[in-house]
Amino acid sequence: MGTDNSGIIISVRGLKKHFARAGIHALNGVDTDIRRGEVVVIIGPSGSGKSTFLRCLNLLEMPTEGKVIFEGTDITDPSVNINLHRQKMGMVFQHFNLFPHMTVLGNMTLAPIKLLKLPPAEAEQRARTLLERVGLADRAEAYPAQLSGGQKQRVAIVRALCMEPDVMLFDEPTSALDPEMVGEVLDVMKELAKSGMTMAVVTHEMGFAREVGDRVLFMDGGRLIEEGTPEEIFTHPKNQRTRDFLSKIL
Amino acid sequence: MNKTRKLLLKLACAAVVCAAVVFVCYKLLFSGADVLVKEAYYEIEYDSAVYALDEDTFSELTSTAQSVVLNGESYKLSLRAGDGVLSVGYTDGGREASLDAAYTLKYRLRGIKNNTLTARFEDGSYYKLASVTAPSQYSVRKDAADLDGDPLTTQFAYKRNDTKTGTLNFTVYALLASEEELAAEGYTETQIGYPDDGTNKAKSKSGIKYDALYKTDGESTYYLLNSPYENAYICIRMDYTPNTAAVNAEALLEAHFANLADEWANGKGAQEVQAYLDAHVAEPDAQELLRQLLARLLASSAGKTVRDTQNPATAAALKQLKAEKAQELRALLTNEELDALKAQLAASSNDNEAGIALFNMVSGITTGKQLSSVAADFKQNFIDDSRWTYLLNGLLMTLLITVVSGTLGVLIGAIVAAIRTTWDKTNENMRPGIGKALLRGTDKLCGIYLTVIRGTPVMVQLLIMYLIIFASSSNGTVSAIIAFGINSGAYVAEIIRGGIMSIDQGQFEAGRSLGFGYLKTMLYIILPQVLRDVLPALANEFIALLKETSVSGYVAVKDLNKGGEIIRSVTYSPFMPLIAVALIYLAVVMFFTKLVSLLERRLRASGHR
Repeated sequence: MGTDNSGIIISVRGLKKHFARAGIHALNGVDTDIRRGEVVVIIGPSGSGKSTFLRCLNLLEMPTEGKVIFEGTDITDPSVNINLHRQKMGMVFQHFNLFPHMTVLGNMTLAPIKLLKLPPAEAEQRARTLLERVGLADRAEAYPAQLSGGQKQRVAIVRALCMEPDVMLFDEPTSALDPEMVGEVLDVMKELAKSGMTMAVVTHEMGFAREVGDRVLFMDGGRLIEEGTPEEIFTHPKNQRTRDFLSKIL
Repeated sequence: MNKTRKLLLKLACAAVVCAAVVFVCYKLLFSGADVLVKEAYYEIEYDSAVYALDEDTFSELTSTAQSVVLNGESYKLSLRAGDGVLSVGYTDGGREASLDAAYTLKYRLRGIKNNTLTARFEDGSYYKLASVTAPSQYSVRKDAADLDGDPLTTQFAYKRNDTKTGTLNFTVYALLASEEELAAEGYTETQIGYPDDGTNKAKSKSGIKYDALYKTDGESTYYLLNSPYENAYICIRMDYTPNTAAVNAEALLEAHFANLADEWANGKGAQEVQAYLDAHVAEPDAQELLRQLLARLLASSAGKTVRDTQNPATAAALKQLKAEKAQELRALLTNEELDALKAQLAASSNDNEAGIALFNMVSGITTGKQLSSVAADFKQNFIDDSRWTYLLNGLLMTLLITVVSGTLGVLIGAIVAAIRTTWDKTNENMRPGIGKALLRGTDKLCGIYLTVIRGTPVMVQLLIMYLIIFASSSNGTVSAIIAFGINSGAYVAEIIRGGIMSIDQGQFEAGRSLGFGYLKTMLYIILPQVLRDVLPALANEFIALLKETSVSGYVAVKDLNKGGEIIRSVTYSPFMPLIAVALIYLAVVMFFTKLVSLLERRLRASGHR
């Protein structure tokens, strides 16, 4: 397998995903690298495969073809224990997916206690520190149903952070939120980006992409059409399809 | 989390309590079996002597051989009727020993009472040996004073179905013949043993069956039992000779009543009542009235014997007779007299049997015919002979079967649901290989299981379990538990699968994305939520199961419904036992329904969706 050189943390080669049942070719060969500490924002029209791409990074979708090399290991190899690698890749979902039968604290400490075998007290300490960081220290004992959408998503983010991942994957984290709650979630993500976390973000928030993104990927039709700095993509898009897309949403 | 944990803790407590209940039920039932056996023996000792044939009698009984020499060893055949079984015994070197169980006679004896034997034969005819000729002569206690050596070769027989009388002869002898010879003689294979009709109190004997050879030539019926020696059989010949003279069955019964009445009036019963009257009734007039009542009581005393014939027609005739006598008495007495009697008897009616009988008779008349019959019905169905214990033991058996098979069902259901949902959720992402093929296979098997079990009546499954799968052991309770467990497993599987499928796929993905494997995701994230969602449905399935077990009487399980049936088969009054059984089911179901609704409320209170 490849070696971890030049700070590359995830390397994607020839990634294809074919949904046999629906007959859809969601990804038609994607190649890219994500470097340590980098914030990569993936944009594109709906149905362009950006979510599928993100979900293929931690094998929530099993790629039909191609390789995903994470920290030097090809995790698409059947002999690899994917569960161990997923512990290093936090994921935040559009619909939060908090565990409704547990408190905020329970949600956050379950995986560290069961998987990292942290002592419960230490896991709780870690969780409370993170909650403090996102301004939810007082909601530690609340159940998900008692939280607003923005609060839920912030909890979902710190739940993933509790595992101290090397990479955070965000799958349209603000799409299901009321507009007035988008800001609080983006603030948390910005703060996270500033702290040096490697992030891959699928989003429609172009402002966020421009301000925080180190690199923007534009996808369409299951292919990577164009990539570059926010400046390059948003101000001087080279590809016609990129221009069309941006003109529609900006 | 805390609330869920508390709830789980409570559930665990409930499980422990259930286990304790099962254990207690089990203990009660099986220690109960011992008690019942003792009762049966007590009944025999009380009602009749234990009698067997001694050597002299044996020579008269058997026509061909009283002792048989097989391979140089001498065996003596004897007929014994001590414990409700006619059996063939043998003497080996002077030591009397019972032959192996295989030698137990094939006709099904239903018990001994009042020196009578009741036998039902393979052709379905039903004999009451109303009076075994001087049975005490054949008591094992040879020193009994009244030995007079009457032969037991002929016995008066009363046949239930057509009220014909006749003579029944038993002959026991050894038969030496090869298989070919027997086949040529027209012997066919059959089975003999005890019926599972629920009336055999000695549990251990219920349903025992033995292989035998059978032949009938119209006049005689032959049963051949295996001996330990090749080509040697123990043969029991039965000859039934009907009386050709016309028989007036009613006249026979009347004479029987009269006999019993005489016996009682001159015997212990009358003395008891006189003693009772002397002790409790001071006024001579009242004493005289009570003596008049006493005369009528004789009918009910006789009736008790008649009821034991288990002949519906006789029982109905007796009921009629009792009602007529009651009306007659009512006409003899004024209200004041009756009230006075009732008052006098009420204070001390528990003293002895005669007193209780008098009180019942008098109070029945005073309160009118309708109520009298209801009270009498109640007493007859539940109080007499402690018949209520059939219902209590039945209820315990029903609970035992329900709880154990319900637990089995949840286990099976959880496993099947796990297999089916695992396949549903992972087959698309699974790499082809042995694992996938295996999972596909088990998933298919589970599918077939669900289709078959849910597509056939539970009653049929129960019978298949009992008569085919457990045919060799014929253990009704185990068959019922397994059949109901398998049946309920199918429904539980669908409940749990529905619960798992109704959990948002996102919950799965969240668990997997944190690094939990499939099983851990199930265990920590999905199942706690599923449990909360499906508990009420599972509880309802449990209640449905409780009611479904009411068919287990068909496989000789004495559950609640069967308990009522046993009472009905003795008393011939359907109303009281059926209503009682229905009310008990209703009460138990209402109790569990209440528990379920409490559970639901608690779950709703702790739900935070």
